[in-house]
Amino acid sequence: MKGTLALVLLSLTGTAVAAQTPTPRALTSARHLTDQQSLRVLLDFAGGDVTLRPAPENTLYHYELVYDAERASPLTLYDATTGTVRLGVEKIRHNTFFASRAGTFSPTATVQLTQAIPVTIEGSITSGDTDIDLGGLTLKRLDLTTSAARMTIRFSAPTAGQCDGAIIRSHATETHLLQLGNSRCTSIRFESDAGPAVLDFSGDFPDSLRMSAEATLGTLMLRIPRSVGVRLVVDRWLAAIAQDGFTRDGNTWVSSTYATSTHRLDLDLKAAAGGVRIEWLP
Amino acid sequence: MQIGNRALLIGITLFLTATAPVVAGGPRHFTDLAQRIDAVRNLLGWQQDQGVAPRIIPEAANGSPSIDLDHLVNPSGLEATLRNFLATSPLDDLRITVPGGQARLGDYALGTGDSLLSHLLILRGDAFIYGHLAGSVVTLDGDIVLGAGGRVDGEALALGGQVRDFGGQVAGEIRAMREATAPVPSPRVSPLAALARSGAGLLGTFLTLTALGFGLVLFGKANLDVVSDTVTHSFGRAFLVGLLGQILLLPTFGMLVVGLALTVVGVLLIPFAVIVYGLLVIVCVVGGFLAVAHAMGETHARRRMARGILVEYPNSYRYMLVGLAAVLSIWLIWVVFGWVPIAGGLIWSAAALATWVLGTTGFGAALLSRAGIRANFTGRLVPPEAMTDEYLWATPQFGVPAVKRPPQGTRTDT
Repeated sequence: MKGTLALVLLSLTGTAVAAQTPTPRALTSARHLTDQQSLRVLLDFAGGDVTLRPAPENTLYHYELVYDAERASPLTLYDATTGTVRLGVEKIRHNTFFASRAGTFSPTATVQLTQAIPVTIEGSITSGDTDIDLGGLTLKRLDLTTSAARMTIRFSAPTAGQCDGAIIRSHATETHLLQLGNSRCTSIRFESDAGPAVLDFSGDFPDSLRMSAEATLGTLMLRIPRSVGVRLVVDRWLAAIAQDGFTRDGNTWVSSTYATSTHRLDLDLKAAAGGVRIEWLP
Repeated sequence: MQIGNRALLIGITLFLTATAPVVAGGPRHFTDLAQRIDAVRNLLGWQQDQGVAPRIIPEAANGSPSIDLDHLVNPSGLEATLRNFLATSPLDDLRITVPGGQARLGDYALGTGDSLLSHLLILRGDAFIYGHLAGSVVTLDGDIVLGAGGRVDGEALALGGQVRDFGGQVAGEIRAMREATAPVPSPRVSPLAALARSGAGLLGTFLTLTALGFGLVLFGKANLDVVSDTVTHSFGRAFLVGLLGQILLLPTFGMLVVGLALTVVGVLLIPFAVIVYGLLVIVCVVGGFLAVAHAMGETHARRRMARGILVEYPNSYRYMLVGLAAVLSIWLIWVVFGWVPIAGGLIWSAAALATWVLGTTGFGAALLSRAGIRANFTGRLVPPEAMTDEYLWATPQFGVPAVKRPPQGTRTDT
């Protein structure tokens, strides 16, 4: 009886140890740019670190993924009829209750997208570090949702073409939106809950930019160039706003240069249970 | 074979060619370049990597096994199938049918200006595409090299290799799957350091709870005593009420907000009600948990006193300290033995369960006694003036119950 029990325990232990052994795999998936007119990218990452960059010339998309085949499975699917590619990684469910997580690793993905044709980016990214550089892309639309992660979206160079809009939702995420002045989007909407966020409006700022931002349970840092005239329409609840450089009229906060500036930022701001800080950039 | 290996091989061969008279005693041992290359391979132990002689794999007699390269939707499955073929059949006996294409062993090159109007499956070799391939190309344990001007109308899939593009054009998907080295993990914490870190966390939690408990004893002893007595005398009831309270926590909150929203004044009060509700819940949970620890410490001290052991400083501070130490000792076991497979999980589960039970009981006791305001809800069925706790605990009652439960209706209200 004792021997049987020991055998069962030993086999259970062996199963647990075997289950935690990682099987690292690398996947590369790419497609040349031929006669495509547009590209719609659906990002679906259920974990891991994600980097997104502009692709070299003649490349429609290029996707590299290093993953643990025991715990994750890559997603790559291109539909030529709609010009849609789905890229991502999904978790393989294991009973890890008894298994140690030592030795395992999170997937690491690098996505490169063409700059030559209009690109729409949609999807969700859960957990991990996300670093997205949209500078130089012909961005048509952006609709991203992140959860329990740290995300940086930057526009390192002005985007080409006409961006219809950008929507970014972050849940329990530390979010950095950098160089928004380069975004060339007609409107930007940002929603954040339970996480700090930085909105940086540096870059080649257009004549006017309209943006709405909602922040709940988290501080919101606005970094705005001094040359930009700012008009804030604020709806807040239990949220303090630093008011340096602004004149307040009811719910509207206007910077001193708003009337005369050639670059204007209209920002609808909703803040609850948090704080809003404004940092003026030289 | 990797490009780097080849470059190294060529370099060493050239080196040996130049130094051959010195190394081998004269050039007569090497009649041609192939012999020199073989010698270098032998020297470096690369004989097993020299690959296979390129040749066509004959089609299977009855068309099976068959590899369909029209739709490469499952590269992992395809790789497993091909590896199974190679593992179960000698290379000389290998038979594979590729509908609309051909299968080959070893390196293959499609030259500039050449066309191949079919799919191409290459096993254990590289595919060099400089011409026009009308179908898809798949390699197993080999690379796909797309030369300038090379064109593939289908897809390019390298299993166990990579696709190297030097200016070729592929109409379909370009994919490569191979083994990888795991990313360098963050420096592993030594078991001792992990133990110290977990221990420090436990100690910090213990000190925090102790500080809170001492504050509670200092400023709210009356309430603490009532909740603690409720735990002692009505443990089961307190646990059930705590369980029910957890279930009803959110519905009650919702009803509160909705109820307030029905009136104009109530709407104004919602933010305050939300905050007060949250604070009350926190007070009940934390205070209840501390009251449980207090009750445990008190019970322990009284039992020691009942056995005639002298207990120094039998006060609430001591009760709190002993009770918290008892609760956290469960977690101490996990800190020490949590790394053990299976047992670690079980210990963690036991500690979490025990903590939850105690927390639930404390929460229920706080609810029952209205956070210690309702002093008569301590489950005391014996009139306090009749027999004190000290008498009941400290007086030996050999064979005689310490106290008889009085008949119904004799409960003393306070």
